[in-house]
Formats: sequence, structure tokens, C-alpha cells
Amino acid sequence: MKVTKTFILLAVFLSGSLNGSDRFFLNLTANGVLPFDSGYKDLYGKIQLSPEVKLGWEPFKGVFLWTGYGLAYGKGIIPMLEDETKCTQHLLSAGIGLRIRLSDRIDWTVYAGWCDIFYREESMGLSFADSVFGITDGSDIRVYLRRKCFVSLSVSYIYAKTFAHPTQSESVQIKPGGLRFGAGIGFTF
Amino acid sequence: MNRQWHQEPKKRRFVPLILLLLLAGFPGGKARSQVSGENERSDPQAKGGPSFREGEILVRFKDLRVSTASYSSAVFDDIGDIREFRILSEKTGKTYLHVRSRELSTEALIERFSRDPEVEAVSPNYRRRIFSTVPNDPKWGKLWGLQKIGAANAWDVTTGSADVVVGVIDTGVDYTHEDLRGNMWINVNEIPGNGIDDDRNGFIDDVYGYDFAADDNGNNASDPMDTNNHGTHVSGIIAAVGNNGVGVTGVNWNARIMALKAARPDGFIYDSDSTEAIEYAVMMKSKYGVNVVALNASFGGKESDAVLRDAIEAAAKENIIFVAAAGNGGDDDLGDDNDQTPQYPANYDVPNIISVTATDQEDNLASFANFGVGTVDLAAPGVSILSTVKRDSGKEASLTVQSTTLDANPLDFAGLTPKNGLTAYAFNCGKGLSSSDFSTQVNKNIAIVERGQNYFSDKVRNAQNAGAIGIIIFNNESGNFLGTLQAEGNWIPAVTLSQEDGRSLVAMGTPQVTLVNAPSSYEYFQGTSMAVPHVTGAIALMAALNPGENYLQRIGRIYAGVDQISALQGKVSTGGRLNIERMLNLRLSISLTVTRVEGKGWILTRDAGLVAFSMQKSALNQAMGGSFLVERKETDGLFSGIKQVAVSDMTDGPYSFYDKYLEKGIKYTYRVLIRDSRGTEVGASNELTI
Repeated sequence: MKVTKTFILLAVFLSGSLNGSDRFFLNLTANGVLPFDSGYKDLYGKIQLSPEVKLGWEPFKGVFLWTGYGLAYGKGIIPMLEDETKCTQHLLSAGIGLRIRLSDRIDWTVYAGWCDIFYREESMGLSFADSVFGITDGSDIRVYLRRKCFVSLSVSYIYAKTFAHPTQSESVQIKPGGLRFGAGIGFTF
Repeated sequence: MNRQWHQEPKKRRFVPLILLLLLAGFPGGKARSQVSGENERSDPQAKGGPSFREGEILVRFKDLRVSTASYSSAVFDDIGDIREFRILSEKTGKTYLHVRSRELSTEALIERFSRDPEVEAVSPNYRRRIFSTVPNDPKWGKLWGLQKIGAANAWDVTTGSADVVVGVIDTGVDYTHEDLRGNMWINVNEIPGNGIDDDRNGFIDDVYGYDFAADDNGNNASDPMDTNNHGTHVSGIIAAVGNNGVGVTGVNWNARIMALKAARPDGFIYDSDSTEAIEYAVMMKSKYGVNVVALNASFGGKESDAVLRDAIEAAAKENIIFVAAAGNGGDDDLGDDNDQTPQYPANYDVPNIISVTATDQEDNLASFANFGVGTVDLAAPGVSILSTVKRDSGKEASLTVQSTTLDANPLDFAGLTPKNGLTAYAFNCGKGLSSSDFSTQVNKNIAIVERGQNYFSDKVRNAQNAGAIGIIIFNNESGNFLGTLQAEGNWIPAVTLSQEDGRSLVAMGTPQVTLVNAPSSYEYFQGTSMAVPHVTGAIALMAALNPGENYLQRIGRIYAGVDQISALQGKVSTGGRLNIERMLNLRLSISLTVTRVEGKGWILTRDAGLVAFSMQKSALNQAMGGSFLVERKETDGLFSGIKQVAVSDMTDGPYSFYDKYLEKGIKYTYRVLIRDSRGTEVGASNELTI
């Protein structure tokens, strides 16, 4: 069943791509993330860089489906112990969006979707990894430099909340994600 | 003070027979030179013959054997007797045996047992000699040793406690002695002389202790009465009753002596017997609550034996310190380097052993005393030490003139007076070189002569020929001296005086004097044997003052409290001589604090222990110059080291670090061990659990 669905999606994707109607876009964004989780902020900083790649398909004019991958990486020092700690978050997301043409060269998009955040922390001789589902939404302004090339400024929001269980007896509430401000470059094809 | 010993070594009736026999072979005659070997010592082991008991071995198995039946006489006719060191086996989880055979040689026994893959160690039953001290002469220096180690001020802090027990592994103890009987340990659960093991500890009628070497085969008996004098002398140094107006005092005015007789009639202490004695002390502490804090071991030998070593180590588990003599040198009467020629048990690398050598009144290392910067820990007074001996087996000398009693020493072999002495007029007879020096008035009176130019024996003989009933020989240089008449004989009473007292006496003309050279229950001995009980006594004092301290803390306190002595630098590891005043007042114990803190990542959290301890660096450097080992254990686990800090890395003030990555929910216990420059634990902190 999965194979069938994947095949259909791929066929649709390719059919659009091959007809040259610019229904796809690829956007590479450098985000600055303001984490929501205070514990995370205390250790890894109040802002982090997070690159992201987003791929979209516009099956109908002004409406697009998108999927993306982002990465956040943090390094910190545990107070008093002066022990280094590391954390990575891999963000897989997908959703739907609207693209509104404001002028010949400027588009505005809004989008929303779900995300799956795979997070991992290595600290004090231990490591812990898990994942959590969350939601994401955002908006960007695209300014076309050429017909198929644009730069973008974006703001987005990723929200997830879960209880991590690093040991049987421990339960830690965490909020991966955060508010992101990004600048990127994109292509349509 | 000037010390001088003349001619051949002296013979005394309380010296072990074997020593007497050997001493008889020493050169005698008229050779009149000052000899440096003041103590009557001989090493029978060095005279040929085995240094162990033929037909006996000691065996250690790799683990606890349910039965030793495969070696019993039922299987082998030629094995006569097997005895298990039951308590030692229980403590260590290994089986230990003492095997005796009338048929097989030691070599054959060793060969047979060595074939068994379950046997871990097998050795002959080595014998050790008491570092015998021979009586010197009474009334010289009195209790200088106690004064030297700061006893008077220490007694302001504590004079000891009747709750503290010290085991004396020796020739027995005269428990009837006027100055000891009040401080004898008494097994209150045993009814004396009823032939019943009332307290069911496996020993019948063990009232004052036990005799683990009642005959030449090492069979046991209940009565630990001293068969020599050595054990009684040692016991007096540890705890002769103090402040009772009688005789001497020990390092402790109050403490209890447990008599553990381990010397066989041949005068030697065999490892099987001393091991039994240690077992007994350990058992009485662990099972019967007797507060044994130290074992005094004024004996030793050249051979190492795993069983004795393990027994001593087992005693550490009961917080018992084993104080051992460094030894009295070899045939040349000069101390040897124990780093090169080990002495056991002193040289066993076991943390609860203190190895002690001897110093004299001037804090010089005694000429006979072994040393070793890597193996001997400290020194204590061991020359001319006055202490208790069996009733009237010693001699006491004094001279009273015009109601003033002067310190006098008896000449060895001189005649005895009644206890109240001889009262007569004293006449100056010059140097007593010939009959012309003695006037007719000296007849039935006492002669005063000055030392020098002829033998003491000639001076005394000349006085006797002149009809004197006694003779006083005063020194020709400052201080008093010791001397001997070389051999038994029909001598008149003879005592020595200092030059100062002698000249004063002569200046008086012909004063009436009372000369005493009477049997006494006190005597001067010397040797590392006498140094050891000073340290043992110090441990008992510490135990009285700080009952909660562990043996490492006590050892550390002793080491750190020593007086640094230039003559001991490079000779003993601490470079010092015992000082109990400093020892008691020393704050050696490290004050350890540990705080549990949470190490918090984003998701992961673990705990850490903030470990902090401090000690004055200057005191540390003097005491040890070693390191600290911080240890940690989990509940019911074993301590293991987590951090070592060299003294050189310490500054005055607290030293702290985080012990990271502790598991939450698990309790951890910390302690800090103090290690000396050899890596031996010499002290420990309090234990803290977080």
C-alpha cells in the first residue's frame, strides 16, 4: 500500500515537473531559531542557526503542498560541572500552503503542517534520543530576482511538547522547536 | 650522660636458655674495651640449624575447603596432626592449616601439599625471636622514655581507659605483678580454674589471655604466666598502673593487657602460635566485644610467611593495629637496613602494621636498632627502659646520704643487699688500683673509688680484700654509667654513681651512707622490643580519647605527630620519634564534606558529588609528603579510588572537585585515605554518604 501511494505521488510529481509549468519550488533557508524551551535556552543559547530545505508542489494555482527538512545543532556547558553537552534536532515537516501574488516580482505565502522532530542529547556520559510530533506554520515573502529564482524572508513557528523519559524513573517535559526567522533562496521549476 | 659497657655481655637468669647458651660462647677473658653492643643479643637463627620447626608447616588454600579429610591421619599415617586456623579461615574465606608430622620432614610436607592445586601457599612454621633486651642496670634514666615522648602533657588530655584492651603477643605476662595486676584484662565470662570453657569461645579458663605455646610442640594451656620477663616488661611499658604510688607507670595509667603467650619453652615464637594469638584477639573482639585496639609484637625473624601475614591483615578488619619491632640487627650488634634485609612481621606490606625502631636518650638511633626508610615507620625510646619484671627478678640500686637518695646503678653480677640496704661509712679509696689505696678504716665500711685505669672487677676485688662490705664507683666523666663484673662470683654489693654525685660524696669526708642493691620487680631492658610498646601504648591512649577513630586514622595520627629527629632522617619513613602529646593534639583527620549536586542537561540529568577536603599543607609535608586518595562506594559495595591528589598539588585551604556522573537514586559513600610517600595508607577521613 505504501509503495503504491509513493508511486502515485512520484508520478504526479514527475508529470508536473516534466510539463515545464513551474509547479515546483525548492527553497533553502538559513533560520535563526528562538527556542521555546527554557531549559534548552539556558544550556544551548537563546538563538540557534538552523538550515532548512523545503520542497513544494503546486497542484493548483496558489495552493501548494510542501515538505521540508531542517537541522538544529547546539553545544553547551553544564553549569558548575563544566561538562560539554550536545544536542541535535532533525525536523521533518509537511503541509499545505497558499501563495498569493502581490506584484510581478513578489509573492507572499502562508503555510501550515505537521512536523516530526527527532531530537538527541549527548551529555554527562549518556545519550538520549527520541522523536515527537508537532505542528508548524509560517509565512514568507518571496522576491523574484529572475523568473525562476527568488529570495525569501520567512517567519515560522514550530511547536511540539512531550515528556522525555531518559530513565525509567525520570520524566522531563520538553518543548522542541521555536520561533524561526529565516532568509533563503529558492527556485521554481 | 656517658654510657659505658665493659667486657663481655652480661648473663641474666631471665634470658631465654637458648640465649644463655649462645652467649656463653662469646669472647670473655680480660679483654677490657668499651663495647658498643650494649644489649645482650644473639641470633640463634644465625648460628646454624633451621629457622623453623621441623615437621611442621603452615598452609593456605585458595578458598574455603569444607573438609581437610584428604590430609588427615586417617588417610596418611605419617601426618600426625592438622589444626585449622578457624577464625582466620572465617575472616578471609580461605582455609588455613597448621600441619604437624612426626614422620615427615618439613620439606616432605611442603612437597606433598604443594602438589595439591587447591593449595595457594605453604611454608615452614618459622620461628621468631623476641628482640630481647636484656636487662641493663637499674636506676638509670628512670622513665626517660615517657618524658621524651611527651607523656606528662599527654596525660593532661587522657591517661587511658579501662575499656581499651591491648594484646601482648610475647613470653606471657606476670599478671600478679603489683604494678600490672590492676590493669590486666580479665575475661569475666570465664570462671578461673574450673576446667570448663564457660564462655564457649573454644578456650578453657582463658582468664587473663591464653598460652598458645605451652610446650615445645606448641600445645596450648590456659595460664599465660610469663616464663621469661620480656612480656612482663613490655606490658609495663604499655600500661603499668599509673598514679598508684607503686613502681613505674606505663604509657597508659589505665588500659587492659590481654596476655597472649606465644613463646615456647625454647624461647622462640613460632608463626603457628602467634597466628593463634592473633586469631584469639580477633575472635574476642568480633564475637565477644572485647575492645582490642592493638597487638604488641616485639619479635621477628627473617622469613616471610603467608599465614601470619594474612592473620595480621585479618586483624585490620577488626580495626586492630599490629605494632611490630623492626629488629635488633645481626651478629655484629649493629642495626641492619630492613629495606635490604627484611624483618617479619614488621616488613609485611599490610596497612595495619607499624614497624618501630629504637632511639636513645639523646634521640640517636640505637646502635643495635634496625632501620629502613622504606620499611620502618618511626622510632620510640628503646634504650635503658625501666619497666616491670617478674617479682624480684630484677635489681634496684640506690645510695642514700644525709636523707638524700641518689641515682645509682648496680654493677652487673655484684652482690645483693637487703631491701633496706647496708648502712656504713664511706671512705674515699682513690681509684682502687691496689691495696695501698684502701685504708684500714674501710674494713666493714664502704669504699668510694673513681672509675678508670683498671677493671671494675679489680676495684671490687681490692675493696673486698680490704674488708669493705660495699663499694661505690663514681664516673670519671660527667653522668652515670653501666658496668659489669663480667662473671658470677662472691662479690660484695657494688653500685655506680655519676661523677657529680661521687665528687660531692668525697667532699663530705666520710659520710654515713645507705647502699641498696636489692632484688626488684623492675628492671632496665633495651631493644626495639622496648620501643614497640611505647607505640602500642600510644594507640591505646588514642583509642581512649577517640574511640570512634579507625585504625588508619590512629596510624596517621602517630605518624603525623612524631618529633622530627635529624638522626632519623633517611632512616625511618616518618623521619621521627613518637610524641604522644603531639599525637593526641594533632588534627590529622581530614574533614571531608560532600554535597550532592544535580548536573542538568536539556533532557538528561545526572548527579555529581562536590567533594571537598582540606588539611594544612605544612603538617602534611612533615607527616607524609604523599598523597590523598578519594574513594567512593555504592551501597554495600567496595570502596574504589576515584581521584588521587598529590600533596604537592594541595594548597592551604580546601581542595575540591566534582565527582561527576552519579546515578540518581543511588547512595554513595565517600572517604579520603591519606597515603605516605611509600603509598601506605596512614590515615583516613570521616565517611560521608550522599
